[in-house]
Amino acid sequence: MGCDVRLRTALATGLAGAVLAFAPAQGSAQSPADPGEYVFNLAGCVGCHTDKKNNGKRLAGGRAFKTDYGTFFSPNITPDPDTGIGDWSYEDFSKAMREGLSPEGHSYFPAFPYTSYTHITDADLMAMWDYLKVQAPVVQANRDHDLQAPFGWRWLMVFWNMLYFERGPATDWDRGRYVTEALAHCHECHTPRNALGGYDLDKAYAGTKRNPEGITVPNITPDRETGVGKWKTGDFELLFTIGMLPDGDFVGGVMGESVSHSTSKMTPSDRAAMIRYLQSLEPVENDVKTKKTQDSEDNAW
Amino acid sequence: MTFEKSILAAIVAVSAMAFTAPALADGEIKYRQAVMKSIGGHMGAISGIIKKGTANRANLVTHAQGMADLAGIAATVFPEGSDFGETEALPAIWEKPEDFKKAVKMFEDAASAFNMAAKSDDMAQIGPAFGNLAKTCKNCHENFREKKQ
Repeated sequence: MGCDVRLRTALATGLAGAVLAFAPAQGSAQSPADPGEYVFNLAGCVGCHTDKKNNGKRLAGGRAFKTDYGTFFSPNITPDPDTGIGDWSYEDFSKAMREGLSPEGHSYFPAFPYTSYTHITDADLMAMWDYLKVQAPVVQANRDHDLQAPFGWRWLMVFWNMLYFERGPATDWDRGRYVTEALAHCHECHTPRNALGGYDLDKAYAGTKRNPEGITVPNITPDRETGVGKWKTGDFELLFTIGMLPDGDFVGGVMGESVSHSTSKMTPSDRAAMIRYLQSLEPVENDVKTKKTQDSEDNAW
Repeated sequence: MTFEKSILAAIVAVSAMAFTAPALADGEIKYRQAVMKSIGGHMGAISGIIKKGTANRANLVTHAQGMADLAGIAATVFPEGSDFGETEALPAIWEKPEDFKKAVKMFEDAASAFNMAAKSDDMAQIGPAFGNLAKTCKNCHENFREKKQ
């Protein structure tokens, strides 16, 4: 039986490998020559910092995030000195990523996942910075966030950080946890948050019926009934390489972006490490499927 | 028909339209969801076969044909007006019809290419063709659909 499972897993993994090896646009699954580009891809920067919906320029920001707290607009992270981060030093970049602070010392809001990026190693941060500063500069002024009081009061973030922010990098993480949490920042969506936006760590990775953007996020702990406990390694492989779910459906939205920008670009060993880490999580029973969805699914037949 | 009667008829006709339009949209949405589930069903079956999780390998051509046929009708299941109701289809479908048309065309082409590959019975062709087909599924789901659950 154990052998059978291993065999099936190997075959399924082989399928993902075969599919990947031949699909041209996904050919970048090998580690790119540039380690900075690799870290940059896995961290998924391009998704939030590009206003794809409105044909915005790459990394020039301006993408809107409608949340319960108001609307956030991602900033320009191209090397334009006036509207982007062209006049930043590495220290400025590191302070933003590791501490969530602007060069002037203002707190960023945790819509920017510095709570995850804080755990990126110095070496990876430096490589990322080297990559970022040679990208095409775009002149595009940042848009102010449009937030409701008191969420728009930046100074309150000092207290938020005291409550919920643990400065990294953590030193005892294995590669799987590092790829999953520091780079791919899966926590940010898949771990439910309390009313103030802090993680509910008792339910780490257990998903939520409604996140601050109003979206249902699935439980990805190995709970068999409400999570992904029935998934085989090959099921994870197919999701992370081509975006296909075990039932033949395909992810879209934010997860689709994560697959395109991040997980499909991982080296096979990093992807395997991430999958092993996800499979090792504490199973949490948390049913996020809404009653309504189940009804409409029934009606569809 | 008297004048009063034609007024009445007009009122009835307008009211009927007002009631049937949303009902029709609802029907279109339900139908679309069923078609999408059929597509997903074939995709799940195909990946099961390619993973060698079943002895029914010979059925691959049937599923491949099903995908090609369903891809051929995909463009018809998004009629104008079917964006209103319990749907995960995004307004972009109707707001950027050219982009959507292009995306559906890619799906159709990839589905027929996969159908050809399946008939060849050659894994070296089937694997990559499936990968390409999968990419077109994901492409639409990323740009034109918002999963609500």
